[in-house]
Amino acid sequence: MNPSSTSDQTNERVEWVRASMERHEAELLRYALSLVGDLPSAEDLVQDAFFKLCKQEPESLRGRLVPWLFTVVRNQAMDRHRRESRWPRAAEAEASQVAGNSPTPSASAQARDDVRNLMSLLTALPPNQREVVRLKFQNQLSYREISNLTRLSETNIGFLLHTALKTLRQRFERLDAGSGVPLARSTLHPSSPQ
Amino acid sequence: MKSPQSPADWTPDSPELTAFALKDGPFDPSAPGWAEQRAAAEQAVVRSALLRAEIGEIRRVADDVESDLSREAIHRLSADRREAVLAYARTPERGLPRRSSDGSPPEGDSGWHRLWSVVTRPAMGYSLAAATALSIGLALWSAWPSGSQPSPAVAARSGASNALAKAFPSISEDRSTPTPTPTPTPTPTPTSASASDSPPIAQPQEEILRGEPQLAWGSSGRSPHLSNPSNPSTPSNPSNLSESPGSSASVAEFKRYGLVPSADSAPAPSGAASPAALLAANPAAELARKPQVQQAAATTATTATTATTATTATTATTATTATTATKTSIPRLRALTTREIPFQSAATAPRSTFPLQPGNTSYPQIRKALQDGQLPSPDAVKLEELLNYFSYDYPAPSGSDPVSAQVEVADSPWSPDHRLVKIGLQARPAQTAGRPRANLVVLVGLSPGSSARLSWAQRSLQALIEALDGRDSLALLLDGPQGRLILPATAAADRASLIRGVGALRAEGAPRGLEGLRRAYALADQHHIPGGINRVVWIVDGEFSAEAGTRDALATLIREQTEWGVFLSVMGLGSEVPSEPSEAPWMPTPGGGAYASAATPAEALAVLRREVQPSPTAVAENVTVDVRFNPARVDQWRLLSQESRESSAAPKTSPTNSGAQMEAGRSVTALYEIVPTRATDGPRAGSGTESAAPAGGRSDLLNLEVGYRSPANGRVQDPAENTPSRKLQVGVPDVRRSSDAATADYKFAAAVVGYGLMLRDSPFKGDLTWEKVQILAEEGQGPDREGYRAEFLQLVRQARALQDGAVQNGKAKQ
Repeated sequence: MNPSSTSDQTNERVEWVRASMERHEAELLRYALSLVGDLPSAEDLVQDAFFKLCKQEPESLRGRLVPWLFTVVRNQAMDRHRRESRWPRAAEAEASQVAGNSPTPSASAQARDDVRNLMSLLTALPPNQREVVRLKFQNQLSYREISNLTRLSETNIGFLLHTALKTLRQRFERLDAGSGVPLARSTLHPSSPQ
Repeated sequence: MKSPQSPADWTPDSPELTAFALKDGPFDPSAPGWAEQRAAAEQAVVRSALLRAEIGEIRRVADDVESDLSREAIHRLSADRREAVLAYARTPERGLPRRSSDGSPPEGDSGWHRLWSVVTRPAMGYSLAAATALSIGLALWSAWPSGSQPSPAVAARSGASNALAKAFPSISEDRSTPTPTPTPTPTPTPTSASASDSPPIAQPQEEILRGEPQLAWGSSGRSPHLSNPSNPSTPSNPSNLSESPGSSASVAEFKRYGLVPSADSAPAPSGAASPAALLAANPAAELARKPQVQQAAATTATTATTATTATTATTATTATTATTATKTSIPRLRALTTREIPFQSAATAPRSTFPLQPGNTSYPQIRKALQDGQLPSPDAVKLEELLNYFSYDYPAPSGSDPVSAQVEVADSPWSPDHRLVKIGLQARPAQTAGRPRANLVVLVGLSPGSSARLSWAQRSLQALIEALDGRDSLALLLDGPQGRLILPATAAADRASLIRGVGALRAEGAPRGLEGLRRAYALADQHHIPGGINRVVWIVDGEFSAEAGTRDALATLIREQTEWGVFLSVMGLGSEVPSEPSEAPWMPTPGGGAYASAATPAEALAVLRREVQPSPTAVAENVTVDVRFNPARVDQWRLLSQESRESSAAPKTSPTNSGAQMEAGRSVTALYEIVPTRATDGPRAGSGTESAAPAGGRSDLLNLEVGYRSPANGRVQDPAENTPSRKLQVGVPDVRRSSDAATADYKFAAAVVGYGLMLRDSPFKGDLTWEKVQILAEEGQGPDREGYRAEFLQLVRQARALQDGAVQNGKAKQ
């Protein structure tokens, strides 16, 4: 056995893992956090996914690294959920983020903060819709990738997203109308030259 | 499973419509048969205003959701966790490291295991994570994050806490218990690892300074700011190390551990080395074999959310600087390949012409050389290119003429016995009334630290706004980690808002490319003008390079949007931007978008102005210029230009530039130096400026004749087609007038050409001095709305100082 080629291979693998972490850890952590609800657990999930990655051949994951990582994270979260027999605490986490981030919990102050609003709106969605919305709009996965990940059909994904967007839109509109404070998003409406 | 609805049956509540609006699912370009699907859907959508409105709404909400979600906190794995993964990647055959949540140390209570047990203990993980999250939060708030690692105190306290451990049971319980890894060695305790964690704070700031754009342009090996310019790859300076790609993270790690590697002191992976040292040693070896790829800079730059990566991003900037520093400048001691066109006798050669489309590379080359602290090569100094780099105030053509001519005569500033004749041709400006409305979305993705490039971008955008029609609309998006909408689509009639929006532009962080462009397209889609100019203008700098994983997606996105009628113009600012799209492999193939690189603010401006006039229209074709000197008045003449030394051919004396076009709004300027016949010293006084006066007088100095054909409704004519050509004739009477009395434009033109004569050390420069050039330039400033003439004055001072310095050096040596 040629020791130098072995060390080359090792270096390549280390470099590959390092680059993968560098590039994907943030999006994986966001996703994991939305599944399990607390950061240390999310970090555990993501770290374990990268441990598993160390055992893979870079060649075998070419072109599907991201879906693979997401799948590992998701499966582990599901295992964990089964073990602990409770659904991931995503809803709690998002709710606590809303509360925690709000220095003045008055309704009008909340209305001005888009992120907080969206979080509370998201929390109100069913878990499967919430997950699909995140995967699509936060992690930029396609219908097909989401379908592979969640084992739901693409049609089903399309339906979930459609429903979720519709709900979000109605609630956005209600917020816009109710708060009296024009949200930043309303400036996105087509401008007229007056 | 429900079968998908056919587009003809779509209602606003069809999930397929959402998929269509999001261009995903069956409308994902990678889906089989997507093109047919899309065609069918488009047919349905075109017919229904209701569906179109719904699509706009869906995209708007999607865009909002996406942008809101993107503003959620970003977390990263703690350094310890990453390190554990990398250690495992080196020796996966040894099995997974134990996550000892049960608290019992594995056999052989080595330091390594102690580290493991503490690092992987959930309570510890929790506090590390909390501290990291906190510091990331702080980092995002502060302008320049200075630390993202948990403080030693926090780590130490939490390391002792076992109480929380049970609350967060580890997930690795069910994993086959790995053999504990006998990494040969004692390890630092977590506390000491954390203690050495904080990156040097002074470093990033210093590098921000070093990354200033003027240095990035400057390629002089003499630059005093670069610590080690002659050998940027010497690994004695960590900032230089980041030149090597893929290693930027390693460099950050070096810094994190306070280790500054050097060629001879890199710790060898020995049994006594700590993991931190091992980690540091490996990158050093990797550095040696990895080639330079700029992409690494962008890759790390996109992750610039923590202090350590921010450090990396700035080192990447420095790396670019260092790279440019290795470029050598033009060698001075080389035989000249060009010479100035000498004087001709008007008796034997009474006719001349000049090029209508001079090049535009000379001035930027000169500027670059001066910025590098060197005088340009005389060959790089092309008089007519310098002259035409600037615009002069010529009257717009009146009546049906598409072209106007203006001639100004005065005594030559460098040879008072000679006359200097300035000829200017001006084409009719483009008719904005006839052009369709424009819907522009400008996406600005500049890396931080490029404040000069940001101000170019702003200046150029302001000029673009000036050129907009009140009916046009413009939106501004900022691409960065927190990409945001600076200005929603706003009618150009509201100029004040547009200008304010431009003023609010910032370079907030490494641009993300794909994501930013998606938003820009979404915005352009919302305000799509059927039949109008729908265009995304993407401003990037040389530090931008699309991530490898997103290139295909970028290309697809651009191609698809182009098919939908939203065009893209990419404008690369800065001299290190690839000048050809092929050098930016993430750029789509031609047809996908226009690509322009602008090494100077003026070029940036010209590029942007073109955006609102997508296809330059010729207002005159087959333009010929014929300058006839009157031998009774003119003894000799010369065109201030240069020619190749090899060419023995006589300069062009006949109007052979036929076929040339003049595009709307273009102007061209030429200078002739004339030696008058001795007998005839013309009358003093006179305005000295002639516009389209009847020609043919016997006392005329020269006659200018501009021949052209009008393009038939923009249709390109067959040059052989015998359409009636028209002529514009200007007779220029001989007047004697001091150059002091000339117009500002004339003085400025004389200054620019005089500058060229000085730089070429021209045999024709007469009694010209730098002093005189500077005075002419100062007196020729005029309104200078765009600041080019002020910039020129700066270059005059620079060149003067350099040449004076060179002369003094020469004297000192003698």
